[in-house]
Amino acid sequence: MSRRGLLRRLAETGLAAAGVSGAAIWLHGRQPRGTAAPPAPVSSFRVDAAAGAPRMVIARGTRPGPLVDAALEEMGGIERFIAKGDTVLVKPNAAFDRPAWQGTTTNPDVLGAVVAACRRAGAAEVLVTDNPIHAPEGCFRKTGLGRATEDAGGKVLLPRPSDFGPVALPGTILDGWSVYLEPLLRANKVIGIAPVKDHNLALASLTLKNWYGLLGGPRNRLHQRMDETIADLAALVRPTFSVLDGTRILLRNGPTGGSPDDVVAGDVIALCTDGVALDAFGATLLSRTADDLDYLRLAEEKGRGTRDWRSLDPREISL
Amino acid sequence: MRIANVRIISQATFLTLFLVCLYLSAAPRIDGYPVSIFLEADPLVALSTAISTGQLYHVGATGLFFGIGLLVATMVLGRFYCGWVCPFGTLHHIVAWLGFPRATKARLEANRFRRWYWIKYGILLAMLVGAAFEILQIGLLDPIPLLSRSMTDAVFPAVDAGLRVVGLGGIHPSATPEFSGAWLIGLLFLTFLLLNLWVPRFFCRAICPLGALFGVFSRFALWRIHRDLSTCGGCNLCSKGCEGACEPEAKVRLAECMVCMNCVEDCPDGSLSYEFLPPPEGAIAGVNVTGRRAVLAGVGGLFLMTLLRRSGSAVLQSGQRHLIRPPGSLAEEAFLARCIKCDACLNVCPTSVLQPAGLEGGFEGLWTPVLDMRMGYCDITCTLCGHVCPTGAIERLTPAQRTGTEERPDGSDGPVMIGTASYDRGRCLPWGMDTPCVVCEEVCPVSPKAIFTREERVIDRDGKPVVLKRPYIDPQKCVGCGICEHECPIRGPAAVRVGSRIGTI
Amino acid sequence: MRATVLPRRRPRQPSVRERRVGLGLLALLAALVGLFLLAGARPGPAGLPPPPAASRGGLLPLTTPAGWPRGEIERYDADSLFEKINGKADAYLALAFESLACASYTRPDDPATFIDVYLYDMQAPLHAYGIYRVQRSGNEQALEAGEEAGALGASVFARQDRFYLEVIASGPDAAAEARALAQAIARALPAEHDPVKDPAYLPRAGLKRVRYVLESGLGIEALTDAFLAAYADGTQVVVARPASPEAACKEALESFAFLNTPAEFAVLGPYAVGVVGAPDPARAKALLAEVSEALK
Repeated sequence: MSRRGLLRRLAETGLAAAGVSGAAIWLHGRQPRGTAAPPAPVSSFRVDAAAGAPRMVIARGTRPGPLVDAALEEMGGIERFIAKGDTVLVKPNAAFDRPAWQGTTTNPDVLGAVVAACRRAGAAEVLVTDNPIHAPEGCFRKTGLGRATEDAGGKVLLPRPSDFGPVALPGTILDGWSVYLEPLLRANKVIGIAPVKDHNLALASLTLKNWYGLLGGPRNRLHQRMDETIADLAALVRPTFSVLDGTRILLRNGPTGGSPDDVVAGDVIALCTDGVALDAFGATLLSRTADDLDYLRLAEEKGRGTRDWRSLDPREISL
Repeated sequence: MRIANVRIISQATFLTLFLVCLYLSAAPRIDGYPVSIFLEADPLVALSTAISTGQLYHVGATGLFFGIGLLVATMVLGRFYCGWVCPFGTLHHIVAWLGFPRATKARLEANRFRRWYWIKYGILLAMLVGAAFEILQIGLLDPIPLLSRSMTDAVFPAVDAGLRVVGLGGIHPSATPEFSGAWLIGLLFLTFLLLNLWVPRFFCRAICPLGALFGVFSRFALWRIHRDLSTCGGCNLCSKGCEGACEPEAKVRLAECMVCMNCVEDCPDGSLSYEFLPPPEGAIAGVNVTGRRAVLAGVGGLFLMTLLRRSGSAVLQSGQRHLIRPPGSLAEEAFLARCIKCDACLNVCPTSVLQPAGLEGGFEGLWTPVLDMRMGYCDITCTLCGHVCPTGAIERLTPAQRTGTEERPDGSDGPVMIGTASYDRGRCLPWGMDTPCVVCEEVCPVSPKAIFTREERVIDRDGKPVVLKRPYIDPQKCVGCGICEHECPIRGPAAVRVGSRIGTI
Repeated sequence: MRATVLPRRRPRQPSVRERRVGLGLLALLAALVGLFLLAGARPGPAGLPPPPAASRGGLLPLTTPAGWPRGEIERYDADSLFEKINGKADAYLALAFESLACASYTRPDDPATFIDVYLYDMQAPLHAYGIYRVQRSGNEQALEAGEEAGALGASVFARQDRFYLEVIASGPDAAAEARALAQAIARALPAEHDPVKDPAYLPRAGLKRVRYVLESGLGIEALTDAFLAAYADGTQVVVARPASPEAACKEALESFAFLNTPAEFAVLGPYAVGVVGAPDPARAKALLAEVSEALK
């Protein structure tokens, strides 16, 4: 073998050995793929309120779009909450793939009006999403919520497994739970729009229960401690403001409804930054009182809001 | 444009169309597309179901009537479907072309006609004999349902998962569908494709009962391949590309010729052409099935089929069978006389609750659709499975007919009920474990709910009184949709399970 | 006999016929694909249909204002209306009745005290106006509910948009609750059209009653889509919009002549205007002129 041939052979072997060893060293001790990310906290989305600014608005009327606009005006205008360039996450209830008249999901006219208002305020992106019980594609289509979002200039996000991660929420039942984090970490403003629904276990499905749609993992286990879970949802999401969509009220057979006889026209919309207060008001729409709802009492005890909605001096308007 | 190239374009078009039909067969995309057109236009499906039910199913884009048109065309043109249309045939053609050596001698040997190619006629006869006894097993080997099933259960989910891994979205609108037992279907599919490396178009030549049916009717063909003896140089090159192994260099076997036109292309003397009524001495019109072979096939088929039927009946009587069939399905016996196991319903199902059955309903029911509520649930307003069923095993209903708002053709009223749920109280949290839950009640979609709760006071193990909401089923209201079983937090067998319908009066 | 393998010198040239057939087949393929794509433009499988109009939004509340619970809702359409209200059904059917939703509200501690509610969907506000005027006797107390409402003893009648509402109380103390319930229901009814009022072109002097019919005004088949006004002196004025006003006037004049009833008819644009049963011809002509003038 010539000198050159020898050098070449040595070089080949050397390179191969170096390559294999290098790869082994690099892989040694790495975290295996698929290891869950460390729990991430969700920041508060509240904005500061000027002294004397309205804290709650109750608007009554039969046309949802103008009702939302009037309520927002009375609250101080959408510009009080949304600034130019914001990334806004609007979270309606899209849990079921049923037509809107069944009253089990947010009214698409209400969603459209909120999304349009955010766009008028100059938001860069208005994202609309939910993690439904039924298949997400059908939910956003059959409820009309997908169309309403797009017509108003927003964007629908459908949940994917990679969007979920554990949340850091110490002292609550949700600490470490798999949450639909991606949109929450992406947005800097969050608005919830919850319909008013009867519910057998929780007794009412209102503003706080609406955030359940951001939970992932085996969330059907949380029913074992439902009241605590809903109260802790108020800690998980501290939204910019919330809308209680009472245009249709699902009075019985909630939360899935199914018959037009279960739904009545409520013709009311309420805005508030305090979800507990909104729920206390919402209870009255279901012919209940705030005292009937154990989760609400728990939420107030944990300091997440006040049940005495009247103390917030709500402005009542009528169209 | 050379005719063989036109054929290639035709094959590509129909294969693409077939795959597009499968792709479009999903809730948001389906619109008015006739996604089951290939299945409806399959003459063997039409013939077998006509024998097993006494009727040509007439619902759908064309109904099964169109298959007869194809049969008539075959009687005029020969076995053109195999060479120009069949998507499974095209796949075999592609694999054979990719994998087979180019050397002429090897190819001539591969395209030699083999006597045991008669087996496909035996399979056809056996299947038809079975159909006469209402045992419809044609879907196991008819290429269109076979391809539809293989793509739906095995290939598309694999491709979908692969696309999602690399972040390219997917095929299915929601998550990747999962089908239990898909491994076997995929394995058989791959095996059939790989056999092309031994003999090109092995399936088409030796197994395909649809090809056999076309072959039988090819004897009437008015146009056929003709070899002009005066110009033929005897080089045998015509066999080099022959798809059907039909011996164009000798007397062309009409039953095997797939009208691929390769021989016309390859002949250096230009002796081969596709002629109108050439002299009959140049062709063999019949099939090489002797009387003995026919009897063997017929009796074998009869024996096998009745054996299969026994396994199904045994299961039915032993009470083991609690198959939940798709909404709109006919009663089990009538269902099995129509289901061709194409799995088109599995493909369109938005929640993947429809799964291919294993042997739990007898061998007869292999790969027919059953509901598995742990995999998904049946949306009570959805009627897509019936919309795509080509043979009427699942009737076409509108959502209003399914929920009972509108009358159904069979006159039954109320919502369609596919099963009834019941509680396993030992596994249920509020019943057996003093723990609140009732997710089942929450998700029950009918109004009024089929699951209701009673508040019951119990003393827990620490002596404290605890009030629990305990769930009960109202059998008059439960439609068997299975969302309760699907959402139940108990892993493994759920605490509430849907079984056969409890027939209340 | 030639050798087994020959090198080919040039590719095979297809004949003209082969080319033509090939092109024809390609065209056929294109047509099939085109048909397939066209089929996709058709609507897909049906979705869940919306519920009948009268029940959209649940127009019958679950309880009365005082909390009396509602029983099950019964629904009737044009074919089955007779089963519920027997002979009265004809009047509704003549005014394009679409559906009826009815329910009973029972006092919790007293089953003998209940309120029956009948909510008729008449398809158009004008038809609801029409049926209201048929059912109204003229003696009821006016009530503030919907576009027009009145209470008579235990019954409340109201109309709003295309709906006609009857609320009938049974048992002591139910009447007051019935009124409250009627008002609550009327408030929830849609207001998608302008309110229907008595036409302005009808002279007010001596006007007792105005009705509306879809067909056979005053018994004349040709008088369709007609307002009928009855006056204190027995005169009746009809203002109809039939397909052919001339033919309608002719038929009306013939029929009334046959009946020996004084009648004056005139065609005014699309309207057929008539005055029937006036005490004297002068009065008839004067009324006719007044209405015609107001219609212009």
